[in-house]
Amino acid sequence: MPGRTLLAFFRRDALIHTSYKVGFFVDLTGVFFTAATYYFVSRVFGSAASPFLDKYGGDYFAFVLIGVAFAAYQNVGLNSFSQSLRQEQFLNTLEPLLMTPVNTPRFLVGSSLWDFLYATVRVALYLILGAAFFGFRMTHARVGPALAVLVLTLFAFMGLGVFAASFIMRFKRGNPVTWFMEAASNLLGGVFFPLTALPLGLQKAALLIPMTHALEGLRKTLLMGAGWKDVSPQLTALALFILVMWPIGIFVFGRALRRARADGSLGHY
Amino acid sequence: MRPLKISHVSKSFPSSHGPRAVLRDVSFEIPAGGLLCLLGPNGSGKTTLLKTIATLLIPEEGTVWAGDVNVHDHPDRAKRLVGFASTEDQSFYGRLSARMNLWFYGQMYGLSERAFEARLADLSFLLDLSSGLDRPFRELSSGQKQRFLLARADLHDPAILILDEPHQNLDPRFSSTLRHVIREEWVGKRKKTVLVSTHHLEDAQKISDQWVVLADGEVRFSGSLSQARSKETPMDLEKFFNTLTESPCAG
Repeated sequence: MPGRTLLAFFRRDALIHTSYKVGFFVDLTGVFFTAATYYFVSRVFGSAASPFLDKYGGDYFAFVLIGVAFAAYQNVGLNSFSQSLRQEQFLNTLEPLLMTPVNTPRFLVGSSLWDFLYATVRVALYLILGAAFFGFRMTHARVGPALAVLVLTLFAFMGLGVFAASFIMRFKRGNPVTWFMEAASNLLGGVFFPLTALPLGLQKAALLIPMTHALEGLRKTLLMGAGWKDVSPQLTALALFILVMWPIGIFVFGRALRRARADGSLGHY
Repeated sequence: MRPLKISHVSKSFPSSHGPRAVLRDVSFEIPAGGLLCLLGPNGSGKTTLLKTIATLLIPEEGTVWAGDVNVHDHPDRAKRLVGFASTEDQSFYGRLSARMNLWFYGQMYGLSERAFEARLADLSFLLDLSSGLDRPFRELSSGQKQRFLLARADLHDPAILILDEPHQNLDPRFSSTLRHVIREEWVGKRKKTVLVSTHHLEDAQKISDQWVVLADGEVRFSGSLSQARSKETPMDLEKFFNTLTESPCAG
């Protein structure tokens, strides 16, 4: 049963992750320090950013908190599969796992479930700490459309992650997809500043990155109370990314896996 | 009960000097419920052959049949029929208990909780796993890890078992127990088809009379050891093995 298999991956990863108790605690504590850093940055430079932030309510801290918190999903989407794969290679557990009848999509999704849940906990923590200590408010938030944007965002990033993982399967180290998407998203995705601060050409290029649509949709729904109709362009764009990236990712990963089986490099790292 | 048939399998790996042939036209068969020892010196291609049978490697030429299933055309079906214990005794999640490790692989094979508990009880009895079950895997001794490696291979109760150097890290007493489990339980009672690889002549002699000797990726001998030895006046086993593996013309 697919559900049981996915749950087994989740349970395995949760047990392993939480067994590193200090790391777990330090990681979550880091959320507070990041939120605090952006709060003070916004106090110094926030007023300069305000002219660019009208459509997001004008508050730079709220803008950047949403950007930084939800950018974690891209991180997980891009890196989770690759890291799981590398970890399995390193532990010599990849071959035994591939000896089982678990298919590629289930293996990839299963091995990233815990990371996505953990990223969700971190996002929630960002928002809670932001509200508790730094005056962050989401009084107009529309939960339904926001969740829809979030779910599509997750799957869009996962599609990219599967594609990125094939590079790890093939070349073991060096992952141009992750490198490019992270660099491009930081510059063009609207994590730290709104797209309107960019030249027109770059604003157009930014539309080719899922992060742009994800953050736009999330900010609209969480900060400005936008409804289904308002975020339909973002939902459509994210759905298109999913429809394109998943089949490409699965196909390329399947090829990389077959190649590794042919040249005997399956367990190499 | 399923026979295992290896038919004209060739395999090479890329190297800095071009493709390096590791298996050359390897063919042999184990009848359903049979037990065969695969012998060969280090680097003879034993592990490559076993990984090819276990679907972890794809051969350039030839086919592997698990019963009526071509393992490389239908790997998903083959994976349910074949269990493989590699030599990687660390290939578990060290921070999880040994029981949790086996539970995880049980889930990957689609075992229900009840089926898993039944398999675990059976394997625990056969391979004496109980003392290590609830300890973190990283804390187990090499010998205990080796037993869990064997348990994982048989967890989904496959018809064919492929065991790569199963006696490594085992003390003499458990080595003897394992030989009993292989011969009497897995082959004798449960009618599994078992292929055991080793480079220890004494182990091989105690496990089975049916041998395939591999050297430089080629089959140098295939058949009954006792028959081969009776053809000539008392032949020293080591000398017999060395003759087969050193000279390409021998055998």
